[in-house]
Amino acid sequence: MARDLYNFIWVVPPPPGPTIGPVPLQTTTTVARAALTTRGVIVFPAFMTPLVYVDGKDPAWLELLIASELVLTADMVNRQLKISAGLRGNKPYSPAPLFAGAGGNIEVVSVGNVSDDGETILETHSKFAGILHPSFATALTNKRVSKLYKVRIKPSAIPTSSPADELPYSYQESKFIGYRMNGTTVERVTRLATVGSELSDVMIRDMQNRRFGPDNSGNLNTIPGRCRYSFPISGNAIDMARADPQLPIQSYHPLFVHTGAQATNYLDFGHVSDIHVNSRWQILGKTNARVIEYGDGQFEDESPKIGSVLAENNRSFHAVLARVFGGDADAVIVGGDIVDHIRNAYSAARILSSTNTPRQIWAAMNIEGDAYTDATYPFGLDLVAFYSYIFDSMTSSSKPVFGITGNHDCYVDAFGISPRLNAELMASRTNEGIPADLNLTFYEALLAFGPSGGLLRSASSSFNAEWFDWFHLVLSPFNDWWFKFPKQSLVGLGWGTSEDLIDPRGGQSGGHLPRSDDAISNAQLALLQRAVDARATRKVTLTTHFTFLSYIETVAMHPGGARSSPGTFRLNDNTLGTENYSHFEMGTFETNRATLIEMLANRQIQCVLTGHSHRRGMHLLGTRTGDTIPAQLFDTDPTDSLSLCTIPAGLTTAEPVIIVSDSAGPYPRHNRDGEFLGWGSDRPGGTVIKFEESSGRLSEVRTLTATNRQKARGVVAMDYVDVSSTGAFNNNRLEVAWITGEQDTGAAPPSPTPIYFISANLTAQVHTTWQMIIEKLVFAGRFGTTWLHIETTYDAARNAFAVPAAQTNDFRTWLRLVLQPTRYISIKMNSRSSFIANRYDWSSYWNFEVMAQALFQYPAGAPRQVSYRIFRPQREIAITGRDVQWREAPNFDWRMANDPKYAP
Amino acid sequence: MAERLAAEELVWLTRDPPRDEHDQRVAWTLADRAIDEVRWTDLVEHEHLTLERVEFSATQWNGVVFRRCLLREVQFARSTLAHAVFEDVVFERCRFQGTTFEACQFSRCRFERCEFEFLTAIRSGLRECVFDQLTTTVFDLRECDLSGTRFVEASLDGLRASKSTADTLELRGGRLQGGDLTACQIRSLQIVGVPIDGLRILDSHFGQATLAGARINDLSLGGCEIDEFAIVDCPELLGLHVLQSTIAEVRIDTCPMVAGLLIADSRITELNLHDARLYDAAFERVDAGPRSRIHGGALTGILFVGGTWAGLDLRGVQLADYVAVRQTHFSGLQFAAMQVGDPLDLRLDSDQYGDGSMTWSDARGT
Repeated sequence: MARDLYNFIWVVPPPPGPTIGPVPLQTTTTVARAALTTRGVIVFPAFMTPLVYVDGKDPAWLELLIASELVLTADMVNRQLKISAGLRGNKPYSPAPLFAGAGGNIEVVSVGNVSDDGETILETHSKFAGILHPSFATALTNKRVSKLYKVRIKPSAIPTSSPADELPYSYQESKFIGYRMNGTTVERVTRLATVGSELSDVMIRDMQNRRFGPDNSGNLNTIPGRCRYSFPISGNAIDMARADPQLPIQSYHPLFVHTGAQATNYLDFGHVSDIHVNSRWQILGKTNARVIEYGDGQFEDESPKIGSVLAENNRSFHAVLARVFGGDADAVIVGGDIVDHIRNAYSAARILSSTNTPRQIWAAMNIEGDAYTDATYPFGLDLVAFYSYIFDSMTSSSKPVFGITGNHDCYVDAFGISPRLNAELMASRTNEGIPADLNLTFYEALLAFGPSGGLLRSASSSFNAEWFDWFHLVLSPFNDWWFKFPKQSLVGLGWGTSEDLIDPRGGQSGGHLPRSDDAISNAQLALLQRAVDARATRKVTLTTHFTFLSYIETVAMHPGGARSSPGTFRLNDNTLGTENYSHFEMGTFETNRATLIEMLANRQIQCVLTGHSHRRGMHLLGTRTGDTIPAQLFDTDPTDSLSLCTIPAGLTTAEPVIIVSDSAGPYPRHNRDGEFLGWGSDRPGGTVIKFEESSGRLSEVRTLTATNRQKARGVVAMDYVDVSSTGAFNNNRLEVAWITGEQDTGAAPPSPTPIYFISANLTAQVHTTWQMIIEKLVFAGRFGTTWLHIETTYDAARNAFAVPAAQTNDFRTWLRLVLQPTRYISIKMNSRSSFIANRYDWSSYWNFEVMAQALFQYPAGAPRQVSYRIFRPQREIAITGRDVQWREAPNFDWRMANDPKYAP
Repeated sequence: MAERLAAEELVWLTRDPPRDEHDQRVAWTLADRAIDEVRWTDLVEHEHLTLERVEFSATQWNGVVFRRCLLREVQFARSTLAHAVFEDVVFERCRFQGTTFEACQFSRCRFERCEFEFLTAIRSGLRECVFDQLTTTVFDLRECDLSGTRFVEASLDGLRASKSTADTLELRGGRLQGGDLTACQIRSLQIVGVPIDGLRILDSHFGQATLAGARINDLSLGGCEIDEFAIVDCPELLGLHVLQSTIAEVRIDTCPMVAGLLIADSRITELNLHDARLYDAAFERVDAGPRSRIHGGALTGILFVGGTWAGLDLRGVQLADYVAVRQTHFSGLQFAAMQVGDPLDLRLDSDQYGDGSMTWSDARGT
């Protein structure tokens, strides 16, 4: 009554050892000829294209694809194929054959030779078909295992318990495995570590040598285990200081056996996508930089250590995994973008140290110039981290995981935290949303990251499809696959070998997500078509990273409070142009578009699971008119009263259900009804898709939000409105009411009543449409060695914030005498809109640097008057359009020169 | 319509420029081409190359050398030029958008009617270059050397410079809005005929800094060290703040409208105001040397708070509205030929004077 997890292992028994003891002078016995063995690789199942065997529902065979050097026989399979319980690093196996005899228990059929054309569909007897990624095919050929066989064995071979005679197939070697502190010195730790013996493990090591450098001390790669070993999970993050010597990154060939109540016709799917594992954010979380450096213990509620509010992807992913694997899903699909980029910051000293100065963190993050080396930004950190998380979840839950590639999975070079190089104008591949992904304002993100936070390592794309080889050697050999559950087909199609974004003359590229250029290829289409053709037996769930329907962030989920948001899905077969994609098809694909959309329009696919756009939604299609199909976008958040989680029986538009999941690492975007102009966020999440066991009807779609992560901070959304959109303040400024010239200088006698009144000047959109209110408005500034902290009170009659009379001099000092880089505003906001008030965290303050610019009115014969405009740096520049380049960055040089906390 | 590079052109541009039958380099022209998403790392040297209407987009180009080349109506969008050398190159009506220069060297280059939008230069040299009628929207210079460079009739929005240096730097004509200089070192800065609207200068060192002949609004200096700081012939000087700075000589000359002047927490060896009309000026905690002078012009509302004035000579100055003094020490205050308005409000509190010094109360009598 369970899900049980096993691992297939292909062993090559060692030759018999030398005879020990006296050599007989004469013998009459007959020496049996040694049984023939072959080197081989189990191609299917693989780590993220596993075999799921549903007891009593599936044909009574276990099906595999095996590549071998020699002609494969059932007898070889009987002796060399092993099944052991669980996924164990040392791959223990029983030397005994699977069966007393192969006959009737094992069938082997040749399916030809390995092809690296990326088009040939391989298939097992009945359960699985897929297209090998060329990198895996090439690796097989290089090892001279190019004969391919579909193999099936009787399930009775599955051991009911771990045999007592198990031997480890792996061996042990001394490896660099981590770091420790010796006093103030970081030193390397070496341990005996497990090394896999399967040929597929050797293929992985070849790839690792090529990608991460040799496994010896001459390698500059600083990652513990040199990317050959998993990280332990510590709390909800990886322990980056050490690798687990018993868990090498090696091949596994999982078999999941569902029995009893788990042996269902229809499996419920969990879907996680856009994980963007980015382990440097774990280091960034150790910063104690604060926007307003009041001093230890001073106003930390208003200006906290940025590391304490940073919501980094790794921990969010861990939380999402807990929800998805811990919930109703019977199988989990990983929808690509498993990492942000292949190279990432690693610093053992920062990881091991409990206290880090902001400057030390800046140095660790630095991507500028010569600071970016193979040692400081080694290759592979996050691939290892992702593997560690998935291995942990898969093995602890015994739930199968299927995976496909996303475009980020071969992004090589790192980028800063706010590389917003004119994104709107140049269709930049840069991502202005990263601070929001981390639940930070621009200023917070940049201050934590350091001066290189606005840079890109690569001006052009760092998309390098050759790096998909890690995914396909370690996670799955298949770029595209079709797995057949008892009554469902699950088809996964990989990203492809290129992406399309930069096209200054194009339409969709401008501000759009990258699209997959060569998906859906003819080969992918052929695989999918076969699944579609068999839909009478098994309804099809299709999963891709790229989207089919995904609304641009500025289109609301519930416009005007409606339950759904209308859009259009267009049939456009133009693979070259970008002209006719609408704002409802963000990050879609180019090739064979018409055919795919025909399939959807004709409701030949039951469910589509995608990611890529970091914004959840469930899209249902209406009836096609010409090249346009009307669509409706629904929310699937069960906590939202307007959501549509339960699909009503008999709903004519219920198939296909086109689902985009929230990003599972970064904070996803959310736009309920136009609030924050598309820059609202939610907590990361995944999706569970449930099917009715009796009918197979898709009955439920629910977002699984990482509810143990902090809510999206409202001030982050406000910051994006102000920095990246139309602005939060009229004319980009707060205004101080006019006072006389002598009051301005302080020459006038002191006033017992307030003289300074500040208009917050929020735009009508902010204060009326979104019903935002300012609960507190605080002015902070460093004067000499002390910090001014001026808390205003709201004067309803003036609709302005009054500086208490007792702090008139302080505020005058703040306006006139405080040096610019230490003049700040802290705003605590909230909303009268219950949705905005409850969905977002409004406990934190919106802190940003400002300038105070005096205005003078000196009319003849009238009192001289002075007012002040308070605005963020450089807001006096009139930039039209989206203000994507406002200088929201801290003055790093000033902090370094004037604040000991930021000193070298 | 720009077309993609032909294979031969690609080789010429990125690896091996064309040669004649004698294997000598020849001048050549590349026109009407669009180059997207490429990364070139081969070292290549170009001489007498003309690029016309070439669009570089998302291009990363390392180690290229241009000598005596002409770039006309060339666009660089979201591109990076690293370790590139430009010598005696003329850029005509070129446009740079979202582009980065990293460790590049521009020598004796001329930029004519070019546009910089969000251009970042890091550790680069822009020496003896002329920017003629340049238009910028955010031009960020970090650790750059601008020696001998001149901006002529440039419209500079969002000029930022940090840790940058120059022997001489000149801005003449045009306009400057929203500028920031941090930790810069410039021996001689001349800004002539350039209206300024917002310029903040922090932690910087200047030998001589002169601003002349245009309106100035919102100019602040903080933590600066300057030998000679002069503002001359400004029709309006509004909101000049000098904070926490050390300046040998501050000279404000022939400025008929100086509103809201504030000098605070600073050491000024010599303050010279000549024919300047100040409104609501304030000097807070200023330590001034013995040769400060206010000659001619007017003081309509002036405040002294704290500080010491070793010598302050006022001659031919109109005093009006108020003089407020709090806890300020004047060692040698002298008045001559003063024109004092009636009523003048003297708000004196703990004012102190040295032997032989006049007092502010004496101003009316002179």
